[in-house]
Amino acid sequence: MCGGIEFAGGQMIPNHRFVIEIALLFLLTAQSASGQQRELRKVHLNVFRVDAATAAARGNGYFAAERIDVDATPTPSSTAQMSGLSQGKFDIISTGFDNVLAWSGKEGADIIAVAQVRDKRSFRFLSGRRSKIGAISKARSLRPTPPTRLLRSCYDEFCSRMAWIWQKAITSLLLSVRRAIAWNP
Amino acid sequence: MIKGESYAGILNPPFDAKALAAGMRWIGDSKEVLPDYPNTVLATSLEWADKNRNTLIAYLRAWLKGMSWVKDPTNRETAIKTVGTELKLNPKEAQESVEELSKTGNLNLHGLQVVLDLRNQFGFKLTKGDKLPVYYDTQYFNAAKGK
Repeated sequence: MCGGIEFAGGQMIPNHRFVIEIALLFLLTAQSASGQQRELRKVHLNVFRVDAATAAARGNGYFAAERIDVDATPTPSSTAQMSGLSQGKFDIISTGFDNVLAWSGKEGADIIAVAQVRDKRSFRFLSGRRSKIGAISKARSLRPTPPTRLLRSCYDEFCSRMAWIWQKAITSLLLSVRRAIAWNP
Repeated sequence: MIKGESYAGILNPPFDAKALAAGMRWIGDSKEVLPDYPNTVLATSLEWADKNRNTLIAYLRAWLKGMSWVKDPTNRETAIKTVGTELKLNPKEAQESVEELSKTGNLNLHGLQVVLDLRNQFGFKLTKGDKLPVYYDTQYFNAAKGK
């Protein structure tokens, strides 16, 4: 019967206290659910540089509209970033895909790319002022070769030599990275 | 290089511009031999993505909205100003930040394969193997786009 009043006809209606209790319970439950929906979800983002889309989403309130609070931190190095992601210090990172390849599974965590921030990457090869390689760059800077023309004439001896330099440079880079990984497993 | 302790280096923007300004010489650009070498990606751990699926999708939805807004030509000037203010960049740097941003956010799978192929070619032993699909997942991005 829980708080009800029984009339002669046998029909039961709730008393006022019971109605108020139910209404309060309903209100509290609704408020709690609404509070959970409104609760900000913190996302720890780690980057080399914050991208323009993130800046706009923050500046225009798009993250806030999704109830997301982005805590963006800069990283001093790939190692700090990837290790931090693997250990759960960061939730999302902005990084080179080579880091995803090198670090997925390395410290236990499987790492996946989910979106493209910047499309094309280019490394600029630069030499010091007094170096031997500087002579090559000096010769090249005297007769600059547009990349498209360079690609079209790729079978020229000059291009073959340049391609060889690129290959050597990339090989050296990759070998040094491999050595670094071997030294710091 | 500036101190003369090394002959040459491979630099990303914006460090290449700083090196040039410091008197270093430009030799070339990797685009000449690797025209489709992709730049930055958003990445996360598979475990976090699984446990926080809704948060990740909501994050990407907001981020994509930011990307569309920035890339909309009608917003260009405002976008450069907003990005400059948010990231404390001068107008030229803010413009570069806008221009380098992907137009769609879609993963460049061909480019990602190029990066992987290069590692495989040079004999890197990757912990998760030499096949591309284990290194990316488009389901969260597609959900954010409403696909």
